[in-house]
Amino acid sequence: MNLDFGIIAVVWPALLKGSLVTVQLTLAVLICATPLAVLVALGRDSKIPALRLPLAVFSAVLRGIPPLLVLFIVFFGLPPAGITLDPFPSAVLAMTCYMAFYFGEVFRGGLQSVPPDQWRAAEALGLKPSRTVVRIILPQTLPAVLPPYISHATEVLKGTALATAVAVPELTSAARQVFVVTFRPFEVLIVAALIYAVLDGILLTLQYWGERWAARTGTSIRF
Amino acid sequence: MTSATDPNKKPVAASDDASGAGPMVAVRNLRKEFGSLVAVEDVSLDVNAGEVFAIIGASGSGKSTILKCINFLEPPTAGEIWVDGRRVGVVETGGRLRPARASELRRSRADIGMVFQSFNLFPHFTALQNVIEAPMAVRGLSRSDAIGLAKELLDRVGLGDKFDEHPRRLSGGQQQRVAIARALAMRPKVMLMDEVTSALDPELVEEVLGVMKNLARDGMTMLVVTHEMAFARDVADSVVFVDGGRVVEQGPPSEILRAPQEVRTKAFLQRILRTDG
Amino acid sequence: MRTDLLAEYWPTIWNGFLITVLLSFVVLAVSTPIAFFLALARQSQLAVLRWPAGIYVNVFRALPVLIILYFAFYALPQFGMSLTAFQAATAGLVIASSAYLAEDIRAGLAAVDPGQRHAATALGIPYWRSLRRIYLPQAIPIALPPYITRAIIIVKGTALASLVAVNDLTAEAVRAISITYRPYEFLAVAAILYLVINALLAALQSFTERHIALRYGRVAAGPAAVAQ
Repeated sequence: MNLDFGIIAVVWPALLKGSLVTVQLTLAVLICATPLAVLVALGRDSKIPALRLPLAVFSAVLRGIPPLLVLFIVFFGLPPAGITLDPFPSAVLAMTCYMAFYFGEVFRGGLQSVPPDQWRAAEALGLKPSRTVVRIILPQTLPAVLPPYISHATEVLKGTALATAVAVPELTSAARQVFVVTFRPFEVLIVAALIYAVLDGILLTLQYWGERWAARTGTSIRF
Repeated sequence: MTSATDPNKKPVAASDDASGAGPMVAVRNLRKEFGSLVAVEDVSLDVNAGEVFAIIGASGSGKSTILKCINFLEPPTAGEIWVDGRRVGVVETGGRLRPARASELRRSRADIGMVFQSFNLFPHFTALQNVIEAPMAVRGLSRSDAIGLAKELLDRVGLGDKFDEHPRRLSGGQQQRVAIARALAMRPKVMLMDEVTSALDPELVEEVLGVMKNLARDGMTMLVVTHEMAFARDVADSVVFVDGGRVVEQGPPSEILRAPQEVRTKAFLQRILRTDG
Repeated sequence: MRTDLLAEYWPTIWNGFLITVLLSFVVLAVSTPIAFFLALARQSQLAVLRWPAGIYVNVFRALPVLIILYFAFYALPQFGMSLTAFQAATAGLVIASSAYLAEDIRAGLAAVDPGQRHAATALGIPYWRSLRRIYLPQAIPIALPPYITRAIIIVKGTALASLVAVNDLTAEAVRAISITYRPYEFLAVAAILYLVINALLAALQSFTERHIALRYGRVAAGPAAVAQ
C-alpha cells in the first residue's frame, strides 16, 4: 500500500491541538505531583508511624497496579462517591497520585544524600523545620534529584497517552480520531510519534544540562 | 520526665532575679540513655558568665553528649538544664512543668550557640549567606541589618575577604571560623564548642583556637569539649574530666592538668600528652 | 459489597486475568532474548550493529507504549498484515519492552570490569565462549534485580492491551463496571490480582538479591563495587 503523507496537510490542526493538551496535562501533573512528592518523601522517612505506615502501604499498592487502572479508579470510582470531574482533571488527579509516589522515591533518595548533620546544624541555630527543609535541605538535594526527576518527567509525558482511555483529547486521542476518519493510521501515527519525540527531546535536553550541572556541583557539594 | 516530679525543682544556683547572680549555665544531675546504654550519668556543672569551661576526656566518654543535651539536640533522659536562669526544654505553667514545645525549644536554642566538629556549614550558601540565615529567620533581622552584622563577625574571625566564597572553596580552618561567626550572629549567651579543631589539619588548628581565645577575652561564656590540652591550660577557667559518662574530677586547669588527684585523670593525661608529642 | 455480582462476573474476570498472565509471560519470553542481543549490539565495535540497535532502543523508549500498540493494531493492516488483537498487543509490547530491557541489560554488562574481557581476549578465548563463561556469570547477578523491576513495569503495561481490544484483566473489569455500575468491587478485584502477580515478582526479586548477595558477595553490590 502506498503512503500518502499529503494527508498531514489536512489533519495537522487537530494534532497540534492534541499536542497542546498533552503539554498542558504533563505540566499540570508535574506541578501538582512535585510538591506532593516532597511531602511523601518526608513522610515516608518520618519518625511518626501514623504517617510512615499508610504511606508505605499506598506506595506499595500504587506501584503494584497499572497506571491505567489508577486512571479508571478515579474515573469510575469518584462519581458514585458524589464527585464528578471532567476528564482532564480526573486524569490530572490520577496521574498526580501515581507519580507523587514515584517522584517521592526520587526525593527520598535526595533527602538521604544530605548529611544528617545539616538538620542538626539548622536545629541548633533555632531554624523552624519548614524553613530548614525549604532553605537548607531541599537545595542540597538538587544535584542528586535533578537527573532522575527529569527522566521521570519523560515518563509523565509518555504516560499522558493513557488519558485517551478517559476521553481526554490529548495527542494520542487526537491521532486516533483523525486516523479513524481518514483511514491513514500509519502516516498520522508517524507524525504523532515525531511530536512525542520532540517533546521528549526538550526534556532530555533539560536532563543533559541538569546532569552537567549536577556533575559540576555534585562532587564538591560535600565538605 | 523524672525532673517534673523532682521535689527539688527550684534552680539550685540560678536565681530568679538573675542579672548575673547565678551561673550562666547550670547542669543538674544530667542523665542520658541511648537505649540500654547510659552515655551520661549524674553530671552537674556550673559555668559562670564569662567563664571558659573545658570538658576533657577520651572519645566515647560522653562529653559531646553533655553539650548536645544542653541545647536539647539530644533531649536528656533526666536532669535539669538552666541557661541564664531559665530552664531549657521544660516550661512551667501554673506551677506545673511540661516539656517545651518545639517553638519554645527553638527560642532557647537561639540563645545557645553551637559549633560542631564537622563545621556543618550549609554547602549551597556563601559564607555570608551561612551567617545571615538564622538572624533573619529566627531573630527577625532585616536583610541589610543581618548583612551588616555578618560582615562585622566575619571580619572579626579574620574572613573579611571571603564573604562570597562557598564553603567548598574554603579551608577547614576557614570553614570552622565561618561556623563560629554563624553561631555568634545569633548573639548567644553561651557558646557550645564540640571538638571544633578535631577535624582540622594540624596547621589549621591555631587559627581557630586564636578566634576562640579572642572570644574568651571578650567575655563570651563557653563550654568547650576539646583535646587541645594547651588551650585548656592557657584559656580555660575550669576544667572537668569526664570518663564513662561521669564527672571524675573538676577544678581550675592548674590543678586538674598539673596535679590531678584521680588515677583515671592521670592515666588520660599521660596518654594524651604522649600522643601530642 | 455485591458478592453475587462478583460471583457472576468472576469467570470472565478470571479469564481476563489468565490473558494478562499469558500476555505478560509471552512478552517477557520474547523480549528478553531480543533485548539481550540489542544490548550486545550496542556494545559492539561494529557500527552496523551498534547504530541500528542504538536507534531502536532510543526511538522506542521515547514513544508512549500506547502509540506503539496503535502502530501494531491499526497501522499494520494498512500494509496487508492483519494480526489478531492479542498478536498486535504482543508485538507492540515486545517492541517497547525489548527497548527498555536492552538498556537494563546493557547496564549490567557495562558493570562488569572491562579487565575481564581483556583478560579473556588475551588468553585467546573465543568471543561467544568468553561471553558465556566469563562475562554473563558476572553480569547476570548485577542485571537481575533491575530486570525484575522492569518485568513488573511490563506486567503493568499489559493493561494497555485493553485499549486495543484485548480482553485482559483491565478490559474485563471495565466491561463488568459498565454493565453493573458497581465500580468498587471490580476495581478492587482487578487491583488485587495485579498486586498478586507483582508481589510474586517482588518476592522473586528479594530472593534473588539475597541469594546473589550470599553467593557473589561484593559483585552483587553493583557497578561501584565492581569498579573499585
